Amino acid sequence: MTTAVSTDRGEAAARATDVWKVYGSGEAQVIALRGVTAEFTKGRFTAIMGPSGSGKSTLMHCLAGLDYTDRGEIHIGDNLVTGLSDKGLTLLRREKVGFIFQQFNLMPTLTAEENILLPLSIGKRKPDRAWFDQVVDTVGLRDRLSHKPTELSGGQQQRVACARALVQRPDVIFADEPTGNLDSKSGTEVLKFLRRSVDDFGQTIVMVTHDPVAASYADRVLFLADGQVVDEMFDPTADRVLDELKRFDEIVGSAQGEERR
Amino acid sequence: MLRATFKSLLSRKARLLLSTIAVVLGVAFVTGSLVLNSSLGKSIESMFTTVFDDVDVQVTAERDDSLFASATPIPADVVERVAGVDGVSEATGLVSEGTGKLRVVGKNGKAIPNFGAPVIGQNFTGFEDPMELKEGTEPQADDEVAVSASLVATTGYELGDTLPLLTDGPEAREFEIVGVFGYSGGRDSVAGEQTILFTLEAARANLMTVPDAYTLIDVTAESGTDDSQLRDDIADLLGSGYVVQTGEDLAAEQTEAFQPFLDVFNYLLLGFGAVALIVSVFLIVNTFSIIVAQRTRELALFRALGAGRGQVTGAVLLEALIVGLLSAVVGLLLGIGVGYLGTVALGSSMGTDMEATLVVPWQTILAALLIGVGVTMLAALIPAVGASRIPPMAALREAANTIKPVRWFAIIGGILLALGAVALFLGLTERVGDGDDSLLLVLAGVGLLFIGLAVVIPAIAKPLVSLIGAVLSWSMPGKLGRRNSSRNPRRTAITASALMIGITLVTAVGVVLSSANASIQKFFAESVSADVMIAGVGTLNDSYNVEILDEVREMPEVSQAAAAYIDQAEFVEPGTNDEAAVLVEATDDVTAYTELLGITVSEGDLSDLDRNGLVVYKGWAEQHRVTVGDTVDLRFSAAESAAPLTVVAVVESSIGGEVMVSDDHVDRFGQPDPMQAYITLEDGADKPQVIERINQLLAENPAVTAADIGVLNDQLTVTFDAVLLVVQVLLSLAIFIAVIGVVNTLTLSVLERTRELGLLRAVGMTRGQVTAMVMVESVVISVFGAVLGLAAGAGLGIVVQQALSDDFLEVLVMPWGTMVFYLVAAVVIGVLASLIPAFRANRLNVLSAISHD
Repeated sequence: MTTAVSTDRGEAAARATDVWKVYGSGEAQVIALRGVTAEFTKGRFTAIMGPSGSGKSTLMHCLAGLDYTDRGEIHIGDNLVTGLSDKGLTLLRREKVGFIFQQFNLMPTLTAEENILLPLSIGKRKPDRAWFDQVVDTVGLRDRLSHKPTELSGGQQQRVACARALVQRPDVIFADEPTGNLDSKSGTEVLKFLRRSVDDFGQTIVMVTHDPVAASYADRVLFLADGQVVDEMFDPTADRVLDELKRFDEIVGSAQGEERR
Repeated sequence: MLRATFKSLLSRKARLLLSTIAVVLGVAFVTGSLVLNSSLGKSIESMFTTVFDDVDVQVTAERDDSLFASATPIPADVVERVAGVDGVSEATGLVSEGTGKLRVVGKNGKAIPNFGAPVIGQNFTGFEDPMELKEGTEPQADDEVAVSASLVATTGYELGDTLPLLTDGPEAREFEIVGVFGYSGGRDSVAGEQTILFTLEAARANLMTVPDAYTLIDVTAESGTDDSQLRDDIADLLGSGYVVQTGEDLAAEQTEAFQPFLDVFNYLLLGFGAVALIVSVFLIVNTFSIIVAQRTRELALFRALGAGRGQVTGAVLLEALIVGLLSAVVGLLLGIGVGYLGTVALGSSMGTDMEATLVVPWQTILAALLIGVGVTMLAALIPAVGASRIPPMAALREAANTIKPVRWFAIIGGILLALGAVALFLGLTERVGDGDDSLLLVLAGVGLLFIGLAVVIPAIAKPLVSLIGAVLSWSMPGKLGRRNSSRNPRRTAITASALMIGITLVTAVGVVLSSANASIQKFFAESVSADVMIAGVGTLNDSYNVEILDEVREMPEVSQAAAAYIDQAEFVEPGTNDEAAVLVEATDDVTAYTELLGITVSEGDLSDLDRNGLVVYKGWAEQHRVTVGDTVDLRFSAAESAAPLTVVAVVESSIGGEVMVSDDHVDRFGQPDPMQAYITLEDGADKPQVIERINQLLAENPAVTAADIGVLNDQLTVTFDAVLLVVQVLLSLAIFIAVIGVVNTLTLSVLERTRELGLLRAVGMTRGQVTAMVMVESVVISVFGAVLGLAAGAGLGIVVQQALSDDFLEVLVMPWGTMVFYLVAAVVIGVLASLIPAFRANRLNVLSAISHD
């Protein structure tokens, strides 16, 4: 499987079409997303970046079926997410989507193994043992499977979360600042693992981050500002991303200045 | 700090509500009991005040306090003497009887049992205010009566009907109802009583059997005369042998007579109130410790910002004070309401037209405040001090609510349990000292075991809860619920303990009652060989004609029959001059009687029982140090003087007899006719049919009925079931409070686990699965409490049975049915208790739950 792609024209694992998201009403109204259209190609690792308040987390939450959109459509694979009931969204999250949060990813009462298998056991699905073993070996948690989260380091906990997301073979894994709470060594391990799961297993990953180094592990970076997609970058490096962010802080800064009259 | 506390309180209304309910219920139960008791007392007092409103002064002759004694007659000339006293406007001699001797025979031919307001018989002296003749006329002939409208309403006999009455002797006498009267204001009676008015001669003949005498003198004072002064004047004139009372004295005396009943009732209610309160304490302690645990970071922030330890403790205690005060007020109001409703309900259940009066003694308000505020603050003290001990930075860092180790609970609890078991064993096997020491040891052992159990529960919570949960953890939500329930063993332990208390008590009572029932059944089956019993409803003038028993004996199906005469005699305690009462039996067939009741001779010979002989039961013989050959002087109820009787035999086993005499003496008994009979049938006799025929023979004896002796056992079972039901109802409040405790713990746990719930929902757990998870946790906790309660209750019941196995609890029978019922109820309780917390868990927004801190 090839890594580098110049054009991104594969089949979409997730798709947002003209998505609007508004919080509050009247004076206090905040428009989080204003007509975002984006595609996330199968087997690719996409990072979403942008300053705080740019709507990157909101976009991810809408894509993942954790939040409702006000207008526009979301697809995961061929499934239309928009308009699903709570039950439908729950099943979608259980079967088509994997999650890695910044912190508090694991149930404290369950062992590492039980945590990894949690989405499968909730859905009463039988785990594929060979696949489970492969995932566990990839994240290097073989000897930690019977440990409770409190007995694991932060990096190990985050790797358990990665394994949990991967073991159910979802259409997309959404990672929300997965390295935000980790030291750089543990963060690097997690990012390398995410990269490997894309390269070796063809997993689709969408990651929200504000760290240019983390973003450099992605195939493509999507830049959001003020609720809109403002730019994208393929095969990013940390330096290029940093430059772009700087440039774009200036643009946005002046644009916002104008908007405020 | 003050403002912060108020804000914190108001911002968590659910928390406030949950911690308040427990205190409110505890306060309401205790104040309700107090209000009910005072109101009932006051209502009874005002009822009697109404009854004796028209009495200025009343004279009666001093009564013999024997069980069978009837009113001492007052000679007619005494009325004349009283009338001559200064200040007396009118003195009326009356013949009056209201002690239960006079009974109406119902339309089914049997005496109507009367447990409420009395049936009063009296001679007619004119329809004076407040009496009002409603229809008919006054009684003129000796077979005519006027009756109160309440009698018409109760019995169904109307004007012109023949009214059969049991007055004296076993057979009914018939009277014609010629008048029906009521009381001013359209009342049927003054206080629910039924009144029958006879002519003076008929009243004398039927109610007292003494000619030219009265039972009481009703004195009307001249206006302006002081009743108490008049009372003293009349008393001085008559000297000893007479009781002179004002209307107020009478009302007070009658009210006083109710006091023992009220006291017992009150102790009972307060006892259950105390149990409810103890359960509330568990609940409050738990609620506050959870609340404080959740506020650890908030409190630590206060500390970090410079608040002292005292201020943190103060903040928690202030919250407790507010909760306590609020609950005390609400609980007090609720208690007053419950007390008033209880008074109304009890008043009407006693069959009287009692007006319910509400009385709130000041002690009630004090109790409400003491319990509400005091208990809440004491319960909050431990968590408050705990909260102030947490170093600020530790709390701020993260997850300070670490689980505290339970090792010490196990060690201390284990030691207490071992000590208790040893004490119990020594006490039950009577290795140490005499009876009293053993009893003390048993009590100490039970006490130690209970404290030990309470201490050890947190230590055993984890494995036991896990075991119970294993049944329910077939799915992932079940597994999570099971793990959650053993996460904080102390919290689970306290919550379950609250439930345990109520179930322990109902189970223990259940074990004792079912054992008592079985023991008595066994006693009957082994000793009493009678098949049929003739008996009344238990009044002292239940009697029948002894000749009927001869006819019964002639029936081919009957093998044996024996009549039982009962009297209460007086005797002089040997070696002293003290007079004491003794229960005397007599029968027309000593051989049959002893066989039928399983009485065995331990000394002497029963066939020696003649006119001068006496048979004594072993217990009485030992108590009074009497043996064969001794002489005992007995004076029967209706005898002028004592008769010297020689003990001819000492016998064992009885259903309560003390001594037996020959039936030659029965005409000097207070009740000269037999009150009961025991009958055995030949093998193969058609029992229902024989009973039917005996009852036909008893047609003219409305006070008694023949019945299968097994019915007695059934009645006993019904009585025990009723007692158990009352205990269950009263303890259901304690159980209800415990259920609120489960709801409380779960709701707070759910709030505490907001982020976990968010995560679970995010990775695909449905609302149904979340509900299942909370439900499993809830069921596990309540079943844990129930199992502990069942074990402790069964243990307590067995100990009681063992301790009393020599007395009357010979057989141990476990009430398996009810125990299984409690277990099933615990499951239902668990499911119900989980509904609110599960609803709250499902209402969480997934996104905000994940980012919840």
